[in-house]
Amino acid sequence: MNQFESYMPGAWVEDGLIKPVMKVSYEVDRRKTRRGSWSSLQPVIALSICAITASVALLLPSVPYGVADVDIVASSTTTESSRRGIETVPDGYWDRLGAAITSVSRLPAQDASFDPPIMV
Amino acid sequence: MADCWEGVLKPDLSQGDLLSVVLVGTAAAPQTALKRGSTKKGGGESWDSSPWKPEGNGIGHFLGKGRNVAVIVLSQDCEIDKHDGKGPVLVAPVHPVSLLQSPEAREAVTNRKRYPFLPLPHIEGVIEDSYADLRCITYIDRELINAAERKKSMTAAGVDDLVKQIIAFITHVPFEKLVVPS
Repeated sequence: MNQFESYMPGAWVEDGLIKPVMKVSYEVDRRKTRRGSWSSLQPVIALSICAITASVALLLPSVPYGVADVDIVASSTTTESSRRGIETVPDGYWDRLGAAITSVSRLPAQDASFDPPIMV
Repeated sequence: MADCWEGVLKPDLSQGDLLSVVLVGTAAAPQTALKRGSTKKGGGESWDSSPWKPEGNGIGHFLGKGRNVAVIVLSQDCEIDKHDGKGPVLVAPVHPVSLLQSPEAREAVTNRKRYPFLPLPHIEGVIEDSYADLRCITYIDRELINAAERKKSMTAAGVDDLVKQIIAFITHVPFEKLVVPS
């Protein structure tokens, strides 16, 4: 977490936190995994992972940092990778994510003087 | 947030589900450790304050304070499923807007002007206009989650709003800036 400056956003695609806009059916894919058809998807997933990894490796050297020309992923897509079996964080992911986060300005500070009391 | 509730419950416990009701709170101050006391007539348990003496696994009992409230599930779906669906679940308490005395507080909450408060529209016969308080996120044991009643599930749009709210509250990073090159 101390090498945020080495951020390479292209690799985010592997983790699914952020990726190009791609509408995915939230409900359908969730049921697939929960109803046990996961094993039948494994060969496809393995091939997909290999293809994605290879593509990212080829693209990374030519990708300029900080270019914002894709949309943000919605929660429907953030769930896909882990649901389909990518269970570990790619190498260098936290550094890249940290760099991304530190590279953007924060949301404006807010006035909390009228916040509700803590209820619990 | 008008379309945040699904017409029917999702098949399984899901991010954005509204549960009713769960004990939510924290350790009471000053910290008070408890030990099991003598069994009362009729089999009821009693608890006495004592020095902190956890079980062999390091876990002990202590005095807590909180409320029995509705909660919204924050844990992501695949995390909910892990460990054979027995793992803890992150939740945020849900409170009615009508409990807020200050008009400014009501206005800030209902118009989604503060990062910690996600407005939740009323559900007929379930909740009035409410808000999830992300300042009080906590985890709940799965056994207690399973004992609670699932009242409603969120639409995909509702879950997206929930995730955006969590990111804004926890990171203060503008969601729209989290982009990658094509």
